[in-house]
Amino acid sequence: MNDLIPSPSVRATEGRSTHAVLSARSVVYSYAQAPALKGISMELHRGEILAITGPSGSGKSTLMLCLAGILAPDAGDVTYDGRQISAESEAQRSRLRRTEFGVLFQFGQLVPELTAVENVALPLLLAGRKRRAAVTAATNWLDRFGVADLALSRPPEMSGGQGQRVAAARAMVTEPAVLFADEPTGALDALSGEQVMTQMVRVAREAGTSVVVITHDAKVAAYGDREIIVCDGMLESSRS
Amino acid sequence: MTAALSTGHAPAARAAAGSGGPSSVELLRLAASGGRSDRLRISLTAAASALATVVLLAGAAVAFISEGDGPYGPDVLDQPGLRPGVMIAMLMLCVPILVFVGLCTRVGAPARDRRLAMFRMAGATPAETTRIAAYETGLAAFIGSALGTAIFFVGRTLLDSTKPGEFTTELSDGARSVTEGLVRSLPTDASIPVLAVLALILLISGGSVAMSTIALRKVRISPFGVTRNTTAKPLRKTSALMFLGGTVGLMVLGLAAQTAQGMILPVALGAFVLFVLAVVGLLTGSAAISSAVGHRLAPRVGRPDLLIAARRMIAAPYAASRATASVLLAVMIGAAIQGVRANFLAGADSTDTFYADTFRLLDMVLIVAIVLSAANMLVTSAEAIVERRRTLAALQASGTPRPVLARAIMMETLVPLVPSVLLAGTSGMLAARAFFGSSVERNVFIETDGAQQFAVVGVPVPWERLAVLCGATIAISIAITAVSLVLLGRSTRVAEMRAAV
Amino acid sequence: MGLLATGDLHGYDLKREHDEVFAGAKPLAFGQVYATLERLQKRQHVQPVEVARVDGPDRTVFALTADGRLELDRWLGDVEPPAPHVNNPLAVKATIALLVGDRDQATRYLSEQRAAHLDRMRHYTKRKTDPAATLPEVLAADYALVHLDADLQWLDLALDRITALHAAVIDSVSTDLPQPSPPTSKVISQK
Repeated sequence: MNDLIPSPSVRATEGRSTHAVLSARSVVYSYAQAPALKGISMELHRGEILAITGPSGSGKSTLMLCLAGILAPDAGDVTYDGRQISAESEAQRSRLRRTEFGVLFQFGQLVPELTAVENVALPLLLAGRKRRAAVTAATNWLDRFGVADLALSRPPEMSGGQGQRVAAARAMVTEPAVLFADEPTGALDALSGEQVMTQMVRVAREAGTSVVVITHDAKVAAYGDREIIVCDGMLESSRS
Repeated sequence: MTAALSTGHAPAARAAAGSGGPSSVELLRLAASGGRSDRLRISLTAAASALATVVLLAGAAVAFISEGDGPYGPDVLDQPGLRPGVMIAMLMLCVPILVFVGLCTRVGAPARDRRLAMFRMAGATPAETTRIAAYETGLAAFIGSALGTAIFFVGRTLLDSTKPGEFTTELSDGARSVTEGLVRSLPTDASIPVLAVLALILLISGGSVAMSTIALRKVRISPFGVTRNTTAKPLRKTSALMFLGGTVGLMVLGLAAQTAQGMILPVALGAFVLFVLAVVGLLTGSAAISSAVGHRLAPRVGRPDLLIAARRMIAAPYAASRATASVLLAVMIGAAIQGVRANFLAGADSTDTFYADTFRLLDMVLIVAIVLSAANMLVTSAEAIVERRRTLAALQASGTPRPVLARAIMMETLVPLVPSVLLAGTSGMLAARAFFGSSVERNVFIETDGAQQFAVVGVPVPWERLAVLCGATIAISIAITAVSLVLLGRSTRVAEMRAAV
Repeated sequence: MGLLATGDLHGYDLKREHDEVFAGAKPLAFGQVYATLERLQKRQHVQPVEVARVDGPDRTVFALTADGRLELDRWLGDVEPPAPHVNNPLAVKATIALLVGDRDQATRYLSEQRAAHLDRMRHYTKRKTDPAATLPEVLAADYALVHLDADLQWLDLALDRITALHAAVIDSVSTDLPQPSPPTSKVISQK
C-alpha cells in the first residue's frame, strides 16, 4: 500500500489519494444469534467512490452500518480520521453521523410531514444553525441535485427518484467527509436510478466527499472507482 | 399469513364475494371466527357491558322509586330530593366502565384488523368489514348486557330484605321526624318498567357498536394491509359550535330542570345527548387547535423538536385528541362532580359529614376513572409510536438525538391538551352549576336564640379543587407520554429500517 | 435505409453517419456502402437525386423512395429473432474453467473475469454520464452495460451451481469416508 503523508489541506482540492479516511479491522457483528460479519478488514481512500457488492444476505449492509457508526461491532474496530469510532458511545457516534457522515438509504428516510427543504435543513437545525441560514444552505443543495422546485413539497407528493435526490441532498448538506449509500437505486427504475447515481457521483466529487455505495447491481457498482465483494460475512478479493 | 385464512374463512368469504354480497349470517360467522386474543377481547367486552348494565340498572332502580316503595334506611334513597345525586353518581361510575369497554375493544385489535384486511383480499367490501367488526362488538355487548340484566334481577331478589332500622320523613312544616320500623337498605322493591330495561340493553349494545364503528372509520383496511387515514381536515367552526352548543345546552337544560320537578328520565337522557355533543365538539376542537398551532409554528420555527412536532400536528391533528379523549372525558365529569360537591356541601350542616363522605367516595371513583383513562392513553400513545416506527427510525439514523425526538412527541400530544383540559373543566363546572344552582338553602343556626332558620347561601366555585383536577390530569398525561417514550427506544432500532438485509 | 430516412445523403456521408450512430459497431467500408446502394437502387428503394461534380469522383446524393420508405417500415415492424446460439468465447471459457479446473482455480478465474468486466463497465458508465454524450453514444453504452451485467450474473449463477453440486457430492461422500480437511464454503480474502 502506498503511504502518503496526509496534509491538512481542503478536502476538495486534495482529490483522490490512497490515504485511508475510514478503515475497518477484523470487524465481527451478529444479529441475535445470526452472525452477519465474520471478520472483515478494508479501507476507504480519501476522495474515492467505493462499491461494496455481494449477494443478498451477505452482510454488506451490516458492514456499512458498522462503518458509519450506526452499529458498534461485537469485535474488531472501525477507525475514522485516526479515531476508533467503534469504541465510542452512542452519543458520540450519533454526533459523528450528524457532522462527518451522510447516510442515504433505499427508502423511508425522509420525514413525511416535513417539506423537502425542511428535511434537508434538519441536520443543520440539529447542529444549532438558525432557520434562515439552514434553509438557504438546504435550498442550495436541493439545487445541486436539480430538485430545487420541490422545496415546499412533502415526500408523499414526490416520485421515487425525486425523493432519493432530496434524501441525497439531505445527506450532503453537512458537507460530510464520507457519504454512505445503501442500495440507493434499489426502489427506482433504471432511468431514475441513473439520474440519482450520476448526480450523487458528480456532487460528491465536487465536494471532495468519499462515497461508499452498497449494491447488488453491477451496473450501479460501475459508478465507483473500486469494488470490494462481501460474501457470507467475509471479504472476497477485489481489484479496481 | 395464509395460515390464518383457514378453510373456515375462505369458502365463506369467497361465497360472499361471488353471490353479490354476504348474508348477515355469514358475516356473523366471520365475526365469530378468530383466535385467542379475539376471544379475550370478546369476553372482556361482554364483561364490561355486563358491569355497565348492572350499574345503570341500579341507577334506574333509584330513578323509579315510586310512592308505594320504601321506606329506606339510607337517607339518600329515602329523600326524593337526594335521589338525583345517587343517579348522577351511578352515571359517573359508568364513565370508567365505558372507558374500560373502550380499552377492551382495543385488545388484539391490530391482529383483528389484519384479519379484516385478509377478508378484503378475498373480496369483501369496506362496508362489509365494518359490519363484521360491528357485529363482533355488538354481539359481545348484547350478550354481556343481557347477562348483566339477569345478574341484576337475580341479585335484586337475593338482596331483598327488610330489617329494623330508622328512617326519616319530612313533615309538612319542614321538620324531620325519625321513625322506627322495617326498612330496606337497597331499592330492591322499586319496579323498573320493562321498556326501560330493554332501552338500557339497546343503549349499551348500540353504544358499543357505535364506538367500534367510529373507531374503524379512520382506519383504512385495504387488501394491502391496515393504514390509518390521518388526512381528515379538522373543522374549526363545526367543532366550536358543537362544543359551545353542548355546553350552553346543558346549562339551559340544567336551569330548566331546576324548576320542572319529576321529569328525571327525559332530563337525564337530554343531558346525556348534550354531553356527548359537547365531548365530540371538544375532541374535534382539540384537533382543530392542533392544526392551527401547527400551521402557525411550522414555517417559522428553527428548533428541530418544535418543527417536527408542528409538522406532525398539521399532518395528523387527530392523533393527540384520540390519545387524550378519555382523559378529557374524565376531566369534564370530574369538574361536574366538583361543582355538585360544592353545591351539596354549601347546603349542609357543618356537623353533617354525610355529604362529605359521599363525595369523598365519588372522588375515589373519579380517581379510578382518571387512572383508567391514563391506561387508555398509554395504550393509544404506544400504538401511535409503533405505527410511526419507520419514520422515527429514519430520524434517528440521520442523527436526530433521542431527547429531541422525545420532546417532539411530548409537544405534539401536550400542546392541544392544555387548552382542551381547561375547556373540559370549564364546561363540566358550568353544567353542574346550571343543574344544581349557584345558590342553595341551608340550615343556619342563629346565634341569639339557637333556633334554626333557612337562609340562602351562595355556592362558591371550587377553584382549588378544579385547579388540582386540571393540573393533576396534565401532569399524569405528561407522565404517561414519557412512559410511552420508552417504546421509542425499542421501535427505532435502525435495523428496523432496512427492508433487505 | 434508416439513415437515408433522416435526410438525403451521398455515399461518403452515409458511411460517416453510420460510424457515428453505431459507434460501437465495426466501421463500414466504402465498397460495402456503394454496393449496397447499387442493390437498393435496383430494387427501387433509393434513387439518385442529384449529381454534384466537385473535384474528385461522382458525388451522387441518394434519397429514399416511397417504396423504400414502405420497405423500411416493414423491416422495423418485424421482430428480430433472439439469437439461439451462444458462441460467446466468454461462455465457452467459463464453462470449461468451471467443469475442468478445481474449485480454487475456477473461483480465481471468475474473480479476475469479474474485475475485467467491471472495469469495462466503469468505462462505459463514464462514457454515458459524460454531459457531452450524444444519444446514440448513450444507447450504445447502455447496451454494452446491460450485456456485461448479464455476463456477470451468468458467471455468478454458474459458480453457485458448481458450489452446490460440489457440496452435494461432499455430503454424500462424507458419510462413508473420514474427512481429510473440513469443507470450506467460501473464499479466503486476498489483498
